[in-house]
Parts: sequence; structure tokens; C-alpha cells
Amino acid sequence: MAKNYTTPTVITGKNTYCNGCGHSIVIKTICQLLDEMNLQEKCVIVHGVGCCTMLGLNGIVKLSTMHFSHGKTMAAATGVARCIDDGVLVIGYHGDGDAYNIGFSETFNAGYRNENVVDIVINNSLYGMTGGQMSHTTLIGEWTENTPEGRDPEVTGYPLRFPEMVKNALPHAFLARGGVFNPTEVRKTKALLKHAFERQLSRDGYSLVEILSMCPTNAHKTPLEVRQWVEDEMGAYYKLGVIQEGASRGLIENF
Amino acid sequence: MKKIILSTERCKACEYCIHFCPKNAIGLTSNFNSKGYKTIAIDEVKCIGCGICYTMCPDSVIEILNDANKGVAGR
Amino acid sequence: MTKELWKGDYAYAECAIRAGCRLFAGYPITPTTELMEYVATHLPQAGGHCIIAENEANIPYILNGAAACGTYAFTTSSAPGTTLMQEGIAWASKYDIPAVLLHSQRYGGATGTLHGEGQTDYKRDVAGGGHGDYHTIVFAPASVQECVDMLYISWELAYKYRIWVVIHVGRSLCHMYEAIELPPAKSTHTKPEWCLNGKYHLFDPMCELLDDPTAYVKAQQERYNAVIDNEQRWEAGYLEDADYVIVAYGIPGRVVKKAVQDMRAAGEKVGFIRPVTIWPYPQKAFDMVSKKVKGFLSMEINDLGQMKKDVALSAKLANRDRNVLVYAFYRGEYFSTEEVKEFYGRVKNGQFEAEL
Repeated sequence: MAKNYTTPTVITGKNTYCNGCGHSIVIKTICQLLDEMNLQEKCVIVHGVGCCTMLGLNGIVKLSTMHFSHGKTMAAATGVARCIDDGVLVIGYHGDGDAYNIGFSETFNAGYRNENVVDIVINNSLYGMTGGQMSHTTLIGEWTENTPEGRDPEVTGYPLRFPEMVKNALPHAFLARGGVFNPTEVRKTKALLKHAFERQLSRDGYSLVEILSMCPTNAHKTPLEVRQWVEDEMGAYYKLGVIQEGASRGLIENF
Repeated sequence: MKKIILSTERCKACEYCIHFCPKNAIGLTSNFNSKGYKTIAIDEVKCIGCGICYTMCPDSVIEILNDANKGVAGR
Repeated sequence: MTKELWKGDYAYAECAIRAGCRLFAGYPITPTTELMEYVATHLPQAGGHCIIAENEANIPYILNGAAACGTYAFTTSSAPGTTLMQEGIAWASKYDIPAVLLHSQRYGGATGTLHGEGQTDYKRDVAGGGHGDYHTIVFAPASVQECVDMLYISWELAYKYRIWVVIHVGRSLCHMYEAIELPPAKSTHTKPEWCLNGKYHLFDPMCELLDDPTAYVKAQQERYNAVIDNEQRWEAGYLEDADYVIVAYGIPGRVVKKAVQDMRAAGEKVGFIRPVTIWPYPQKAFDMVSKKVKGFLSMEINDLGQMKKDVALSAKLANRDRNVLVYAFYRGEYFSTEEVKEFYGRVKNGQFEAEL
């Protein structure tokens, strides 16, 4: 049967993201899933500070959203996940800086306690809103506003692969990495997100889906140039796919 | 019967759709929208309704009704 | 009703559960650790969540997330921990999210000390340590019973005005035992319609600000003015004909009250005001003081004098036509009733200079 491709119902049409921004593709994909799973009125997105702030503040989606200070996204998502009505999907949505730099403790501890949330981390290798500074996921040698000679790992440390770091260290429901730099990856990412949503609705605990994303403005490249860079350079360092499928809820013997 | 609906006011000319269209059915016109971007146009004859452009578009510019009888109007 | 002997920390934990608190997040810190321990045992039995958080800075955000869903949320900490919480409390004020903090202050900065009592966080709790234009209601009880009574109504007030409520005590009120009456357990409260439930609604006053700045500002001012009008609490005595009024809060307030009662019995025309809310400061009590009052005495336990300015301001507002002097006593340890009387005597005899 022929398929129709229509704008998700909760996308308002107003979009203040830059042209070619990966955020927009992820947000659209989330909204498609909410339509398909009939969760438009059963979803709370707690989002962080940075470009992700625009998700809630700029009328881009007609969804229940809340935002708190930089890095505190998963702490607030913890509180919401504990207290919201059953059957409501709770999503934490933030960038790599909010999740892994300033919010490392919050992100880690939401996973540590296996809170029933889906943690979506938009990894564009830098701090976008403030103009493109180095974050924990900036690649070795990558130019940013405060690594003008390229990132030197001896001084700044090595780029962080967070899902791999916590895999096998903590009981999670699901850890994965996707990307929005080509249509095949967008579709795979959609499947990863759908699986994370389903695991949360089954109350299996914490899922993390990191998504490699484009920031043309701070890469000082056109959208087409930066999406190639994300595919080639970031894709080489940050492996795509399922990183860990965790157990269902319950005591893990011999952890 | 296929129907393509474009909300060109939303278009920001990122060109993802143009790049990934398997049939080279999409191009940039010389029309500017009110945001100041040149907007896209799709050749309905070449288009096979695969939805790849829809998948990549960050701004929900493109809607494709492959089964036009069951479509929702463009928003 | 029969009274029972309860340790402060345990009484407050039990009171919170009875008041309907169903989410607590805490971190071990003297002297409020026992409160968390009691909660960890009893709150899950009541169907609530006790989250042992990773640090204090994250705790207000966990509470804010829970309170946004309409759950009564609670935390407790001591000076260095509550300092870490300030951002989360300030942030909540922007989104009108109500929760409750019991702050047991220490004496001094950094780690501080706990061997005595301290009132060194008065200015921080009253002014609020975070950024932005906001206030929290701050209760300053002087006994375990009073603290229980204030805590029990804290969530009602927090939800009524949609601001945080801070209970400002010291180590004594956490650790001492007192014969008290605990209030009855409340049935579950109705979740307000503004709370998160999965459906779309605008939960972001920032958006309101962008759309209509005037209306937003007006609403904020009206809200805080309503708190100032309605929620001042105090205990006072002998104000109608007082020449001098002594002001102190918390346990020092009880010392002052006893000293004033003794001095009245000896014929001195002295009164006392014991603020029970330090924000809003009990201006109405000062308004009840004799218009012929000669001066106010401010007494507190810290090194630089923090409450003295609020006493001076209230004295000025109550006596617009003249400059009523304020004599400030501040020292980093408890004072006795004898010392209160001695201070009063020196003020009365012109041997103590008015600071404000």
C-alpha cells in the first residue's frame, strides 16, 4: 500500500534552528514516533540549555516540555519520571555539552539509578549556542573557538565515548548511538529511538541514545559539507548502532 | 496518484533533499521566501515518492501523498 | 492530645510524611542526616520516593521535576549543602515550582562549626542565594513543636503561591528532644491543573515574558505582595507601652522573651518581637509598637550582624516621622537572659551606641 509522508501533527511549522541543523531532524523524527505510537498527549520532554532550549521556548513543537539549568536535565527528568502518571513517556533531551560536560554527574547518576527515562544526547562535537567551543566530544585535531590549533588531547583529554564508558559498568535498559547525517542513518536512528521508547514504557529503566548531528554554523561549513564531515570523521570515532541491550527490570545476579 | 505539497516558507535551502534524491528530481529555484532563502522545487514526473527527501528535511517542508485519497492537507 | 518525646530530625521527617510529602531527595550532612535516614525507612512504606542523591546541587532539580508533576517534594541540608542548592531554588522561582527545604545552618563559613548555634545564614536565606528577582517564604521556628507546625503547612503555602518555602533552623532544633504533638496524616492532595501530565500546555513563564512582559512583571509583584500581606508570622509581647523592644529569632528569641518577662516583672517598660517568618519580615508586629518607642535592640548569633538591617528598616517603616535608633548586639555564641538584661541596661543608660 502506498505510504503517505506528512508533517507530524505536533510540529508547528515554526523552526528557529539554523539551516541544516541536526536538532531539527531529530525533533521531527521524535514527533513522527509520537504520532505512530499515539503518545502526543503522553509525553514530557525535559530539555537542557543551549540550542536544545529552543525546543521548548520557541514554539517548535506542541508538546509538554520543561527546561532547567545547564547540565541539570537528567536530574529534573529523574524527578519527573518518578512522579508523572503511568504510561507517560519521559525524555531528557540535551546536547553533548549539557550531557557530558557540565551535566556529567546528572547524566551518569540517572543511569546509575536506572531511572525510567529516555536520554537523548545530540552530539555535534561542540557547544553550539555559545559559538562553537570545545566539549568532551570534540575530535582530536578539531578546530573550535577555544582550540584554534586543533584539539590537543595531551592538554585537554581525549574525546569521550560515554555509552561505551558506562556499558557493563551499570545496569541500563538500552544504550545506542545513531546519526542524522544521511537518510539511512536517520531511519536507523528512528528505530533505535522507538526501541528506547518501548523499553521505557515497559518500565525497564534508563536508555541512552546518542545521535551524531550537524552544526553547520559553528563548523563554518555548508550543511552539505558538515554532514559529510560528521559521516566521515565523527562516524569513524563514534561507532553507530546498538551498544548495549540491557536486562529488563529486576535484580541482576552476579553483577 | 502522487501529490507533492511544499511549504516553501519553511525552507532554509540546506540542500539535503537535493543531495539525497535518487532521481535528481529536486532543485533550488530562484524564488526567495520571506526568510531570505531560495526555495526548492520538485519535478513531479521524475519523483518516485520514495520519501528520502522527507526523511532528511529538517524543516518539514515536503509532504508526499502517494495515496492522495487518504492525504492530509499541507500544514 | 498526648505528647510524645521526639528528636527534632525524626519529628520533621514524620511530619513531612503526614503532610503528604511523597518525594524526598537528600545527601548525608550533619545535622540533618537523621532526617534522611528516617525518611529512607518510612517514606517508601507510605508509597513515596526517597532518592539518595549524588550531590546537593542536583537535589533541587530532582525536586523541581517532581513538584512540576504536582508531588509534594522535600529536602534538607546544612550550610555548605544549601549553598549548592541555591541555583536550583532560584531556577524554580522562574517556573513557579513549589517545594520545601529545611535548612539547618551552622556557625560560620566553609565547613562551619556545630558545637553551638549559629545564625550566619540569615542574610543568605532571606535574600536568596541565587540569581534573579525572587523570594522564598522563610520560617524561623524556635522549638521542635513550632518547626513541626510550620513544616506541616509549608506545602500548602508553597502550592498556594507557587514558591519554595525554607525552614531556617540550627543544629539544636535538629538534634534536641522535645515533647510534642504531631499533626494527623493528611489524605492525598489534589494535583493542580498546571502540573505536568503528558499533555501539551505552556509551562514556561519565559514564553509569557516574551509575549507580554508587563503582565508577567505585574503578576510577579502581585504574588510577592500577597505573601507579604498574608504570611507574616511572629510572637510578641508588651509592645503597646514599650520604651524599648528587643528583637531576636529562633532559640535566641526564646532567651529574649524570658529576659523581657523578667524585666517587665521588675517594672521595665520593655517589649519583645520574635519573628517566626524572617521573610516576609513581620512588619505588622513593628507597626503595633508604641509610637513613643525610644529604640529597638537587635540580637543575633553571628559576627557581622545580619538581621540588624531588617530591624532598622522595619523600625523606620513603622515610624516615618522620626529616626528611631537601633542598637545591635551580635556575637558568635549563645547569650543568656542575664546578658540580654545587661545589654538592655547599657542601652537604656546611654552606654551602648546605636549602630543604625
